Amino acid sequence: MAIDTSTNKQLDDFESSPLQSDQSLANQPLRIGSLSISSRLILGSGKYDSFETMQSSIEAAGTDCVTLAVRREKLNDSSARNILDFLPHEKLTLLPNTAGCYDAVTAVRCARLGRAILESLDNPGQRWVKLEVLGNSRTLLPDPYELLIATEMLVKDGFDVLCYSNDDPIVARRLKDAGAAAVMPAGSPIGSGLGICNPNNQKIILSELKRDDPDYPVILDAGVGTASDAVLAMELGFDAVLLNSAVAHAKNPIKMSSAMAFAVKAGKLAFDAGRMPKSAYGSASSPELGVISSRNAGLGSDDSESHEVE
Amino acid sequence: MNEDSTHIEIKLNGERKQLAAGNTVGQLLDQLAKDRGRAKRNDAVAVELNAEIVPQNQFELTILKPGDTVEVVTLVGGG
Repeated sequence: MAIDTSTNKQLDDFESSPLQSDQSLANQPLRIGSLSISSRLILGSGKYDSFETMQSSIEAAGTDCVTLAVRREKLNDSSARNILDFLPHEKLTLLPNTAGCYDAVTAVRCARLGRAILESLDNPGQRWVKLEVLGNSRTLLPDPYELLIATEMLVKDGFDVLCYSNDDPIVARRLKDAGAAAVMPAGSPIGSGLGICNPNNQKIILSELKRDDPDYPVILDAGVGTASDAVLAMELGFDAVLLNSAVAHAKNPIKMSSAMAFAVKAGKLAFDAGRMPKSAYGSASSPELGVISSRNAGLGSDDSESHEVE
Repeated sequence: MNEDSTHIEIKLNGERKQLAAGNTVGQLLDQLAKDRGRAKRNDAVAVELNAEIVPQNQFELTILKPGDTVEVVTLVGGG
């Protein structure tokens, strides 16, 4: 496999300063539409026990991108604190979502309201939206038909649209063709913690969307339960992982957030490194010659064939 | 409360709300802060008036009329 020179250059940089993890391959900026983020982990801000835990989890994740929802201002709740007091939003790119919308028209309204709020904060996130159009309140899986309509409307309106999608290669292709800035297939239903239920579909999506367009961002969104799920996502070739419940509902959210930060970096490095081929048989790492005892190779040995497996 | 020349009724976030006649969107936001016992209004909001977004720089110029449907939204935690 040919390795392009830019990768070699970055590899040299990495090898010359292995301790400077921020300079590592795992931290190449990720371009999504007109925006760039430096973290491959995008963290949700929902479902934490407290704003303080959320704040510490965001710090532990080392992320520069956090998702938020748009909701009606409470009219009579004097106790409610403002989440923005706990988000260093001047340092973050906020990604407003359209969570809870079940049709294209409502999702588009919600996206425009999100943009208006971020304009008032002068946050770069005003240029994009995480588009969620759900089809069922129990599964929280997307309605692909309404999702596609909403994508077309928002692209026309100038948004960088990050589409929360089914893990369906055809739907993913349709969304990209409609102008989505990124497609974000679900690993499994939102908040389920089931991980990546159909890795084969995800491989097809990645291969289809990145064919002749390797920098097109594809992000795993939803379903991650623990660090190994995030590693797997990055090893499959996703550009980033978006998660919330796995951290917010961990027994120790701050520790889990830190685990996710390592997981995403490890998975990205492993993907970039290129894994070794798998074999059904063993292959000694130590020299076969010069062993101090002489014995035959054992029952059923036959080293004349290649044992590579997919 | 009945509508009279000094008050109007609008629909705010799905609820009926009485308001002084001639109030602007900005004054509505100040009133909301006051209702919630806050010193100042939440600036991180977006306002929709009859399904059209009101730009931030129009808040003080946009006068509410009887029967207007107003949505005031803000950011909350979400994934």
